[in-house]
Amino acid sequence: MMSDPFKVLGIEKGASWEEIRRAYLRKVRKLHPDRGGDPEAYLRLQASYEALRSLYESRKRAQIVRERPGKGDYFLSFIELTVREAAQGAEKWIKVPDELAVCGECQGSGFDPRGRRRICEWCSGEGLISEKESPLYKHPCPRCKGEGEILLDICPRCRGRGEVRGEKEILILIPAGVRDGDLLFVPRSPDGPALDVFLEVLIKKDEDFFFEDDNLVARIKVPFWKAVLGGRVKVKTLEGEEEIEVPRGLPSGARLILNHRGPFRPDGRRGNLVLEFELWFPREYPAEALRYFQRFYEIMEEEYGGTSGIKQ
Amino acid sequence: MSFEDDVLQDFLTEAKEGLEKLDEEFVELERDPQNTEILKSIFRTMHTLKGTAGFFGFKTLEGIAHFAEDILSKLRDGLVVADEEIIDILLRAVDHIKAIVAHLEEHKQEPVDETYLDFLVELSNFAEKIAKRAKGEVGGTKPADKRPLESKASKEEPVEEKDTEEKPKEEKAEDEEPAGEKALEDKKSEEVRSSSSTPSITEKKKEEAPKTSKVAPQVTLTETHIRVDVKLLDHLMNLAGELVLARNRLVQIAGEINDTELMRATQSLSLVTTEMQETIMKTRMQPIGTVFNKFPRIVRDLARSTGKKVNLHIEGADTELDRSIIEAIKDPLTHLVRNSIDHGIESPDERVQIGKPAVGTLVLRAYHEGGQVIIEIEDDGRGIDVEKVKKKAIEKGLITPEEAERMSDREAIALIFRPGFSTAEKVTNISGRGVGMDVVKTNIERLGGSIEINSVKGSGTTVRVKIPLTLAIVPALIVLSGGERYAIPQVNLKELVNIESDEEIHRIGNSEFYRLRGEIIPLIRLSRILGSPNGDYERSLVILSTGVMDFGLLVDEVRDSEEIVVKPLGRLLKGIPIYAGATIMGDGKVALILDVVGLSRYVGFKAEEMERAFGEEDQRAISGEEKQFILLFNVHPSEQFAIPLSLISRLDKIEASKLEYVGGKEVVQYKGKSVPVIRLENYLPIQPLPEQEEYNLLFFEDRKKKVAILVSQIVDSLETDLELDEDIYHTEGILGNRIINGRTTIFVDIYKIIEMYDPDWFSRPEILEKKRILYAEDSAFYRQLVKNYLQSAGYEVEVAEDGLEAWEKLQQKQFDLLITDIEMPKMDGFELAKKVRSDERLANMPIMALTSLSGEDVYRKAKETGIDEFQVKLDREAVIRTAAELLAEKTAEATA
Amino acid sequence: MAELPVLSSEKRPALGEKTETFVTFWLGSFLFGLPIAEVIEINRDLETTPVPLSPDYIKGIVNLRGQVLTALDLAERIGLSAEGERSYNLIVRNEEDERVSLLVEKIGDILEVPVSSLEEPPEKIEGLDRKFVKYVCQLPERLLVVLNTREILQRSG
Repeated sequence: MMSDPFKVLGIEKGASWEEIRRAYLRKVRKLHPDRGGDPEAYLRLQASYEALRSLYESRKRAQIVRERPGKGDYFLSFIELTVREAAQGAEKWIKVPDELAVCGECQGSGFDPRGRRRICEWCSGEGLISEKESPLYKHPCPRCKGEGEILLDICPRCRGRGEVRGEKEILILIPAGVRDGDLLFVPRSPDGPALDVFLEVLIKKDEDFFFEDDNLVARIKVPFWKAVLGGRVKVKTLEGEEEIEVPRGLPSGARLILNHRGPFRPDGRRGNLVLEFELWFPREYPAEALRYFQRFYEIMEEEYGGTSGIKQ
Repeated sequence: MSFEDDVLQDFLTEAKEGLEKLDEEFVELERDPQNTEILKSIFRTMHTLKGTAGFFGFKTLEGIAHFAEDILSKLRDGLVVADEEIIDILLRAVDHIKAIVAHLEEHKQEPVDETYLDFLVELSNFAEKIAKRAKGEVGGTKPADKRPLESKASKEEPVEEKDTEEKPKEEKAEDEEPAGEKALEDKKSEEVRSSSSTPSITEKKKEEAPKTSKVAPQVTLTETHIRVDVKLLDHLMNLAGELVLARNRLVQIAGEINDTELMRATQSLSLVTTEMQETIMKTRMQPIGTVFNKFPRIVRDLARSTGKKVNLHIEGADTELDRSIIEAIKDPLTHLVRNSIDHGIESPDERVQIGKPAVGTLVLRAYHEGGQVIIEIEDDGRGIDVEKVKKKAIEKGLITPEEAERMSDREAIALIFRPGFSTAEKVTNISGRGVGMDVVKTNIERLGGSIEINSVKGSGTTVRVKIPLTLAIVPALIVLSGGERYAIPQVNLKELVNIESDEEIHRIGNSEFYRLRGEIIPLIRLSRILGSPNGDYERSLVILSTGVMDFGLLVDEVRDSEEIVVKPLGRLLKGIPIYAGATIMGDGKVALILDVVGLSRYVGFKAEEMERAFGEEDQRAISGEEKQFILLFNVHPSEQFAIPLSLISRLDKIEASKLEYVGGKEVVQYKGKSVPVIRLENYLPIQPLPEQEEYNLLFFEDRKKKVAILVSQIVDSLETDLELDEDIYHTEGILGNRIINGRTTIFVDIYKIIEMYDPDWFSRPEILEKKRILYAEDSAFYRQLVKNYLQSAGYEVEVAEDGLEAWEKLQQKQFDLLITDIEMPKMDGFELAKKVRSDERLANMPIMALTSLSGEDVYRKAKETGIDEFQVKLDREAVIRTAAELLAEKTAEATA
Repeated sequence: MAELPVLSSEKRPALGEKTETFVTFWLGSFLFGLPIAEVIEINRDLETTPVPLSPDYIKGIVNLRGQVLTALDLAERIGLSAEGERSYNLIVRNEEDERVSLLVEKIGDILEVPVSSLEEPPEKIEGLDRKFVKYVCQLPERLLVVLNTREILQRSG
């Protein structure tokens, strides 16, 4: 039996291709014979990597469909994506139905081999019955199939069916631009799922990062002092982390639109990424800062007159 | 991370090499745009770039390489020729790639610049354009706004996968693929059905042939199919069901008779019937997928509302079932699925705790097995806890704790199906009732199916529903008798009548009748046939027909009409003639199906009796088919009398004590009123009525006046023609006599007798002149009867014994009105009328036809032949009235 | 649906002896048995719809999972006068492979007895018609009367 390739690489089962690649590289470093690693372990690593790679090669592209086709057998499940994944597209490992196989527990009999049993009344436990006409010829008792005993309890695994459907993991590519509630379809194929697969897209709710029509809105907390004096904030865009210049005097709730930096649309174009700035006030301030603030307070009050209002 | 850097370095080196090579190759290409070798090479380079870029996750690079590769594949395969425009954009692509590579070298990251993204979009659009060009613009059914979402990385990735994996025959596959994608989004399911397989690689290889049109997969040859109205199929189904019932009956009878020929014939009939029914069933077959497809939504909603996560497997969606079964199982299946999700599958947390995957699995599975359809609802939830079930059953009072002890697991699980087990917490849309498992079970058993549960605690539950494929379904009327339900096949049902009062039922000895619009219908009481205590509560009359005869069945109550599944009775009960089978009712209890032919044997008038009545007499010429029910009674036990039943309005018994003398006349207190009584011996030379404790009364009514004839005993009633020997003495009040049941029977002229009793009883019309009526009638009885009452009414009446005689008399003498019977020998009433109408002299003679027949046909024919009016012989009043009318008209005409 | 009760051993057969197994049940004071191969199922309290005009020993018809079976009052059939409530349905198969329900009072154990102890019934058996009896078997505490299913299910008259 081949060992679990994920285990060999030391990663979680649902790892993305990125992670697989990285894990491989990490391990290869250690195990490469030229670097003094164990050749056997190295071979195992290679094999696991190859296995995953071929799974990757046969990755299935999920398509978005409006409705299920009316005919045929299928498997319906759901898939959770983060907003980021939905916006950019993602590769995900999913468990899909595999072919039917003989139930391992009961070897196809449908009965629990560990359950209660009873002596077969046809052969009285012998397992063989003889013909009426020729008592010399005995053949296996059809009732108990020669066992001499009848199993009474049904097999817990297959519950009497004798066969179970296997499961396998495949990698699917989710196109960018899916939205919550969309249906993804992965057709059955010899190297893919044994049944047509439909997945309902569920997008994890994130207050600070969500879809708005064709755009993505990211709520960015801007420390108030940066709003006062201007500064840069780190923003995680779809491409990675970036620093965005915050204009001075930025009001809370202001939106900065980054054109075409948003989620991908069906036609290949991109929506916008809207940065919504929210002023952020820390809960505690260092004593020194407070002192400066006090002074700042007094100056500002003088300038803008009293606490009763703001003079234009 | 230095090792990763090394790897990256390798990639970059490789990329740069490739890019250099590309430069050279493009130069070549510009010179020789169709050079396949170069194209192949360029393609390969681009492909490798794409692959490795993807490997590292350099999405922009991968994207550009991908679209470029796309374009290149079309070039390479010769579908499109590389023109300036194409080469130009490809070169630009290379430039972009170069730039990215350079950036990668420096920053180890892809550049984030709009220009790349814009180019990517431009390139992708271009690639699409090329793709279209390659297809030659075939099959533009793609709706513009319904393209699948593309990620920049892989617009036609499956296509290129094939390119690398299988070299030949890709163009055809490519053509199909976009079609497949688009078709998938089309709402039309037929298209989807046939082309949903196209994205798959292996299947694509097979679907190469129609490169020209993408229409091929969708077309079903319409020439081999026709449309049929569903109602027609339903009707066919019903007929098949009735045929099955008739076949069953035949088989049973054949079994009793034991004639080989008959047996053989019955066997082949049986086989054909079965096959026919099965074939008809096939026309109504639908895939169970139509029902299954309702469930993804139900499952999703339920899962959401209960906070559970459920995966749904649909297997065997193509399994076919009869339409009516499909309708009927929707609700039970829904209930079972609800159960699985509600009670079976645990919450995600619970599941993880016990080591199950957080997401539960629900399987809806269907398949054929041994002439049955098996539907399974399987879940991997918590299974049925037998102890809990037992406890609940004890709580609900369904079993005692001792019984619970002794029960096996299977018995315990079966408790779920007991009514009262599952309280209906939620009222569902099944006729507003809450649905419990007992209702589910009953609904399934009504279809002839069965349901069983296999459950393993902690592992899950499988509910298996089995339904037979062939059904004998028949519409039937459900009636009650003695508290039990019985089903009567609708095919035998003529009419339903509500009996308001006992008066509507006429009793004679042991037989009962009902008058249905002039027709006398013999009645039988279901309670009596079944041997249960007499039901005087029978208020509902079901008029049935065996095809040969009609009769009425008195039952306690009539319920609804239903479609029932016919189940045969076991061998021990097959022989009972009044049952045709059994059926399972809506509440799971069994009800018997009545055999109408079997019931008809209980009707009082047996064919043998009639024959006996005939056989004992000399052979007489029977006048047509006129038969009447006559009542036989005694005054003195030694003498037998007869009177037409229809002249009697009621029959009843009274105690002698009810007879009184009031104002010199004898009356009887009947239902709170005084009714005058006639003793026949006062008017006829017959033996007097003996003293009895009880007498029978024959009521006669004319308009509001009632009188009763006192008789000692009602002997019987029978249907017979009214051939008589005329009374040689012409006694008034006697029409004639005849031997019936071995006794001389005197036929009484009731009109005469009543007239004798009260000369003013019948009002006479005003007569100025005595009008002459010719009455043609072959039956002595009627000749006398009608002549008598016409004469009493003040007319001069001459009679003729048949049409011919009447015709002759008409030639010889003068008459004012012709009244004629229809059925006569030598010349019948229609012919006579025609002749009269075509005779110059007689053409305007009013003609009235009298008949004992009724029915639209006769009436119509009468009108056609020129007959003016039509009456029933025994309806004295109507006849006299009509005669007066006709004569008045004639007079009016004459004077006008 | 009931399972057949688990094998009990009221009489342990000797090793190697041929035995026959019976499903036993009570009617009045009699213990009856039927060969296990003939009994398909045991059920209880199946609601019976009476069939007027049927022979006296037929109690009616019942619904068993969608099939209509005839229910026989076994006591009545074999000529036994018994007062107990007969609520158990013993489902057996007849010659035409139809299922018939026999109503009995109580279900006993499943007994395995050596074939050698099965005897011909005596000339007269108190309380029931001999023709319905196939064998009798003397058990330690009482007599087991094995019935002749074929005879019982035969249409009488």
